[in-house]
Amino acid sequence: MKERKIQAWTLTACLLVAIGKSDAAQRPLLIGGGYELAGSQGQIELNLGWVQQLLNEAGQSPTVFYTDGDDPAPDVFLYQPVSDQDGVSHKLARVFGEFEADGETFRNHRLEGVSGTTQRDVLEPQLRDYFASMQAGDELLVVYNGHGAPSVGREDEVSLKLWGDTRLSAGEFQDILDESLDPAVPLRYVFTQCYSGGFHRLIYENSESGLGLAEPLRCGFTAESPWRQSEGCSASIDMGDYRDYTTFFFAALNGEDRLGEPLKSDPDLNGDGQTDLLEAHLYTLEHAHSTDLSRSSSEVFLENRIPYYMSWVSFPGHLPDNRYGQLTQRLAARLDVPLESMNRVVRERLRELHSRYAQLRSEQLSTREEAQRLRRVVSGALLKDYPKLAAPYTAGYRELLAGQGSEIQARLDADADYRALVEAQDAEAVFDRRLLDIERDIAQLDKLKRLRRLAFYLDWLNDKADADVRQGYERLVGCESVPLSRTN
Amino acid sequence: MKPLMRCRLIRAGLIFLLFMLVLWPSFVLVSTAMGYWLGDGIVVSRYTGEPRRLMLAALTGGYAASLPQAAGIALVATGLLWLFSHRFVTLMLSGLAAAVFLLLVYLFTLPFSLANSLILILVAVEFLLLLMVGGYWMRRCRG
Repeated sequence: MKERKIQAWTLTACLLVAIGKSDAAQRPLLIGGGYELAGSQGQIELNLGWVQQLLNEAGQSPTVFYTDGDDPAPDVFLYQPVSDQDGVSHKLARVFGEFEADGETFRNHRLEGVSGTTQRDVLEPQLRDYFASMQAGDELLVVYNGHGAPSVGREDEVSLKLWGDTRLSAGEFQDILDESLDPAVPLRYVFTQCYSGGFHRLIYENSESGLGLAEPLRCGFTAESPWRQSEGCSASIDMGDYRDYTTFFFAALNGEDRLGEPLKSDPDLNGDGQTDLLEAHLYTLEHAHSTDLSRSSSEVFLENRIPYYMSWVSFPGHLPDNRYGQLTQRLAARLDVPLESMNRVVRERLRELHSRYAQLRSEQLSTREEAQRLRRVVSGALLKDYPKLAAPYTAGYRELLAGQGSEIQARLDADADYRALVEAQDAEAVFDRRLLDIERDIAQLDKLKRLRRLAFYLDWLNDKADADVRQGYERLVGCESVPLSRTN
Repeated sequence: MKPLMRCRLIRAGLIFLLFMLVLWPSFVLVSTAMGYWLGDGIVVSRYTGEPRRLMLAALTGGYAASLPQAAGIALVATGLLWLFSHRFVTLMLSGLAAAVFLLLVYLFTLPFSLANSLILILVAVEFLLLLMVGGYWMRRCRG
């Protein structure tokens, strides 16, 4: 009888725990958008909207903070190149220095379910309330998609650039977490902005000292180191050109990319039938042909814990057989770099790419100077005959275009200097694209070098590191190896 | 204390200090040169895209962190010089013994993939230092 009572109580207790646990969940928080209208590119909105949709499909309802919140004023800007067939106003924009601005349009964001603005003074109390509402058993996932500002000092002084040109640094974000989040709630994060690597300091108990991992664990992924700008943030709405960290990372988690195209390889490396966050990160490292040198918290931890002399050692030996060694091999094969002479080949290619970059940059500057010279020549001649063109916001200007627009257009079409100007301006835009391509190629080789070093660091960790370092690393890897759809 | 012994002790102390203080810069120098020579060139480029001050901090931090190990290595090297430096041949043998000593230490403390490259560097550093101090040591103290 007594045994039955104990069994009944045990069963009840188990049920209560189960019920309590079923209430708890992974709670995603999306923060994003630009810091002002001119820095609020359409791609950020599309990225965040896509992530929101994926999380909704995964059965989670993310809380979203975006630019100016529910203010109906424009907070997104888009850029679509304007064709020269579009009439005299575009031609005049070329001549009078508004060539770029001519393709810009502005509108209010189209995200649904936005909880509020990201402006620091409004966002911070809301974040505190949100964090305070979480309870033991919940897991917090923070995804930031926007801009970042660098630090001139410590890594944890890099910051998010929020609406109203306000800032929130990694150290301040950690203070908010420490003061309002239940210490039993673990945090995972994905920061994709420029200089985002500074946010890896969140994994430590003290973001400034970087000693001791926070309890419970905080882990995550960033698009870049604390010292480099990240790819993305283009105002273009050409979906095929998305190359930022979010694009690849969430595509791997989703099983197909944003355009519905299949992935380039199966990201499920351990073959357990689902892609976890770490596998998505490794997929991104392998396939993102972008300027990003992305990193996970476990990689950063490993790099911070290697013995002091390992930073100064080159590794001519055989590549260790671990996850980074294998990734190095796959990336090397993709980049057509032979493994046996990888270091030499990479160095030679980098030298060549840097030299080409410097040459192109110099050509671009010459082209820009030539375009400016031509602009002065053409605009000077136009203003001499049509002085009203100097005051574009006046009635006289509108009258001039209405009456003599065709005449001005014909004159420009016949002007050899104007045609040279069009050529120079278009060439300058092509230079931008070519320079970006070279930067991406350089980043692939830098990534290969970094992955190779990580392979040796991991070899050291597995073989000779102290137990506490090994344990810290394994715990972070465990924290990162969670699928998106997990709920407790 | 006899003047000869005092001279030897001072000489040993000076050499111990020299070994300890120049071991880390020599290590970085040789490692960088070997990295470049082996086609790696990665030692300095690891800091590509990072502020120069981080590289300097790693350099000075490495100096401070290396001192205890450098002291151990300097002690062994000084002891070997003391014991074997009566003739040039034995001096060279002491260099060899020091290399073997380092080899054993690093094989026990490092994974093979790392010891593999590190030992090459350390033996080169050791050889460089022996060349520097060997000549000085060979000059006898006069009692």
